[in-house]
Amino acid sequence: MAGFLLKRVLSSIATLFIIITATFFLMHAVPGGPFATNEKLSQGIIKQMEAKYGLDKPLIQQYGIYLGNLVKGDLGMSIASKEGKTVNYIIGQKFPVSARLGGLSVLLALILGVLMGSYAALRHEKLADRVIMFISTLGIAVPGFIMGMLLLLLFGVALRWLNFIGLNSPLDYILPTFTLAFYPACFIARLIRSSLLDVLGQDYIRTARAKGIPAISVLIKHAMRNAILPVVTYLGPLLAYVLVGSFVVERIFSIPGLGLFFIKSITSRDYPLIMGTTIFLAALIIIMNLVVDLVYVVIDPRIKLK
Amino acid sequence: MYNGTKAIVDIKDLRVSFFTPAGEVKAVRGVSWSLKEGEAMGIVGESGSGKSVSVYALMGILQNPGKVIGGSITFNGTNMLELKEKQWQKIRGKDISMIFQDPMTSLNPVYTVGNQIAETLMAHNNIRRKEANINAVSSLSKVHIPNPGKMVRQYPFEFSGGMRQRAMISMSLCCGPKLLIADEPTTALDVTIQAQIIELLKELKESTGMSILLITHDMGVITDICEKVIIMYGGQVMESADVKSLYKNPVHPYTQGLLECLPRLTSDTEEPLKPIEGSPVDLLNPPAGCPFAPRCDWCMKVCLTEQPPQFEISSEHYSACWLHALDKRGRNS
Amino acid sequence: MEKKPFSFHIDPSMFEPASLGEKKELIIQRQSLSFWRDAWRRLRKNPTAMIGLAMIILALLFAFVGPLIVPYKYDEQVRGFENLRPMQTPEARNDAKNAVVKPKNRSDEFAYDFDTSPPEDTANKATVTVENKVAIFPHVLGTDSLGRDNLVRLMYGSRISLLVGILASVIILIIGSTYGAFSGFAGGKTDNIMMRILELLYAIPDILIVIILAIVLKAPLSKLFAVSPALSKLTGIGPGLLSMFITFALLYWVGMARIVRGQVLQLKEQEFIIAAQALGAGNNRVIFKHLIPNCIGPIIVTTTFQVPNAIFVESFLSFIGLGISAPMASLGSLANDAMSGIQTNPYMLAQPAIMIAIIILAFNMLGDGLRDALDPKMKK
Repeated sequence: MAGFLLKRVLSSIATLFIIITATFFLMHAVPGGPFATNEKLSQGIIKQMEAKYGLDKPLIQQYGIYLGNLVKGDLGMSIASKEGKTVNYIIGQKFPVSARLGGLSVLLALILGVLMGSYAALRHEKLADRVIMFISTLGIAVPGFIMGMLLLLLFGVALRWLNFIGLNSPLDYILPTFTLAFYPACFIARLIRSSLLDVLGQDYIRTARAKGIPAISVLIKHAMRNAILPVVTYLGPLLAYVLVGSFVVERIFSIPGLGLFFIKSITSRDYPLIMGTTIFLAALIIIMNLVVDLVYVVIDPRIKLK
Repeated sequence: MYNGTKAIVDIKDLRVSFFTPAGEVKAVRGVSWSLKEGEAMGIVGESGSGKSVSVYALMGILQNPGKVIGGSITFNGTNMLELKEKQWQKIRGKDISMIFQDPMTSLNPVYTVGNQIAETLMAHNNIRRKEANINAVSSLSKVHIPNPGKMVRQYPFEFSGGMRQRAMISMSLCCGPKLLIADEPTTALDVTIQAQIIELLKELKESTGMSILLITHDMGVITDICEKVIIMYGGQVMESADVKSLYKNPVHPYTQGLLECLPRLTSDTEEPLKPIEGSPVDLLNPPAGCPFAPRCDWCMKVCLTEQPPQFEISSEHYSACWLHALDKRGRNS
Repeated sequence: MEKKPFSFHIDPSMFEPASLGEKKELIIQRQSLSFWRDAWRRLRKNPTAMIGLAMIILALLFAFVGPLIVPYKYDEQVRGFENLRPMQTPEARNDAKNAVVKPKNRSDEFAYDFDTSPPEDTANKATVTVENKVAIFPHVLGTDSLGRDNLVRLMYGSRISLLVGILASVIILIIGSTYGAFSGFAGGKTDNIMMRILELLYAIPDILIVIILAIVLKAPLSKLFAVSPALSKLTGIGPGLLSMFITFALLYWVGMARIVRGQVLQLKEQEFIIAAQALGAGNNRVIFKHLIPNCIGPIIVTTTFQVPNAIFVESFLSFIGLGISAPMASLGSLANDAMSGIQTNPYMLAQPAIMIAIIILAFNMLGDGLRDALDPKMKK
């Protein structure tokens, strides 16, 4: 198992490295630099600022410096920000908001999804199953942000029940969290349903029943443990989805998180900020995937020996 | 009616159907037999004959679209069809146990073997996990698994095929059942392992005095361990007898066909193998007459339209075939 | 086991042997259909899939034939007709209270502390009309802030979204199935290496790459398109879409490759391939006559699901401002534009949102139906 772990860690680092390198060279491949479009500045000042931020050095050297800083955990200075704040600071400010929203959404998605899917599996072919399947098909097909817009229109504009700007009160969390969680919840519901149906048809469930094990135990101990595996595999993509989906959700509901910030920063061509945020998010996703793989090993002992 | 020994299982005119979207699949269509205490009976038939289904009905583990639609099942004097689920659970695993064909898929892959044995013990006896774990070890040793203390902590995929089946057997016997049902226990195993498992079952039957229901499509296995055998086809019983009589004097055309199919060591290698012509019964639209009629060499007009009753050939030897109406001494004369 | 009394009503002549014909009557033959006809039959029986198919056809008609019917151009601004609700006339608009929807707690617009340059899109080269064609064809879905008819813009947006979706899926189809088929058929070390590459690609978060590429390509592409007037027509395509296509060609085909490889591996082992090779068929013949037709099922299904996926990515990008740029419009960019006016004219947001939902839903429904229809194991 140690070999497996090592392989995973190494490949994660490799992937991250590729992303960092690709991002770096892509950003710097664009001619002009961040100051070139700003017509207010004279050439002299531009040169000064470039020197200040080390943009006049050869590219490879800039790359080296950047990598060096990265290892130290320093993501650089935001070029376009007014008071010269560091990227770390900005991320530190904005990320917790997104994290809270994201975390709640993941939780909601898991709970809602597992409950819906299990119930549908147990009431296979009956009305409850068909209703849940219909809803979850809708939820998967309709993109999350569309759902968000429609929910906003319905509850925020038409019915005026909920506020849809910012996160000032606990109630404000309802719409954005639900929007972000709906797609994954539906996906998980379908996963669990088909997985559970499959598991319930397995021979070992028949054996468990033949042993006289009470139905609840059969369901939770025998069936769920096996049926939950695909959901665990999905956790990685789930987290990635929530991360990226937060961009849009923050935009729709005007939530001052990292996603919205990232979008707005795109137009400013603030390299360190864009790069730093991208690397931060990518690293987050990669680490999450690694953690998920570890969880999978714990749950399914067969992996250990492969 | 029987030689003084109590009947532990009594099935009368059992009918089981599966109500599928495609229609009603009549899997069992009027089956009757009984099993004495301490007796081992074999049920032989091809896939689709209804042999497994009738036994699942006995255990109460019919899969969802399946329902018992007629007849009676009596176990140890209790009418099983009137039982509620909770009562069923008390009986399953404790008074009646079952082992299945493929031990690899029949054991839960994510729990250790010991865990699964202990689970049965805890469900039926009022003991805690520690004690159950200890008992699990002795359970494994009763089926001659070497090093049971270590094996009890292994996962099913770490066992070999034969050992897995032994583990299943130990799991089914750990609460001392009166009846063990074995659904094709050797089909998925090598021939040498098959012999070992059958030996094990014989030994356990001797030592515990339990009854055994052995379901198989392999006639050879029956002779080894069973005293009685019934042959099923198309959801009905074709012939039933004690094992010696059946082999000496098989009177039903289907039984004869089955016995002739077996390649024999002593036969001339030039002789072609004799399979039974035709294809299995369509259980959605079973025939009105004898289910074997379309494939039978001696089929008569009446066979196609009327179901034959069970004719008594000799003591405890019955066969459902219209030929016996012609010649009461049986066809094989 | 009771014995029936012998004297019952069976005619002795019934004990004659039965003829072969009489026996055969009892054997019911099952109709065997060809694979495709069987699949089509199953698909036709599936109501959800048929509805999905109908919706797709309607959407295609809407997007491609629609603009021919509506007398407005998508960039045609009509003075005096701005911000109309569906079917509303300018007079009605002026009379109506047009209550501005105020949310309960108006929080302050948060301040982010760096300069943002103004959005780069300008309403260039739009045609302006003063006469109204409303008498012939009213603004069924209203107009936007520049007086452009919403219906035709919706049709146009759908057209772009659909084209992008289909084109992207074709790219994925070609690259993915070729890679997968090759990898699966080659087997051994080649297969191994190709799969490692696949895993690495799979680990890269695709949407992030799309975003990065879009950002990066924005400046140079707009400069490039400004160079010649011919190319400037392509301005709408923009860095966003281009980077989307590039990323699709680089990353999104991984799923398709895996599925095709899986199929090829399965089929490789099956007897009929060995039989064909035993009869002397060369490798090429094996691939084209045997492997590919058997892979087509999953390929079709996967491609059907890729279309809505691509449409989603495009809408997503356009919604955050990175996709299509003006004057071209896609459903996503329409939604983006509508966000700012959400309190005065919520219909403008609802229209593209619902349209996207319908299109994506339709493809998913069809895809589900196709998957069920083409899975031979489900034959009843």
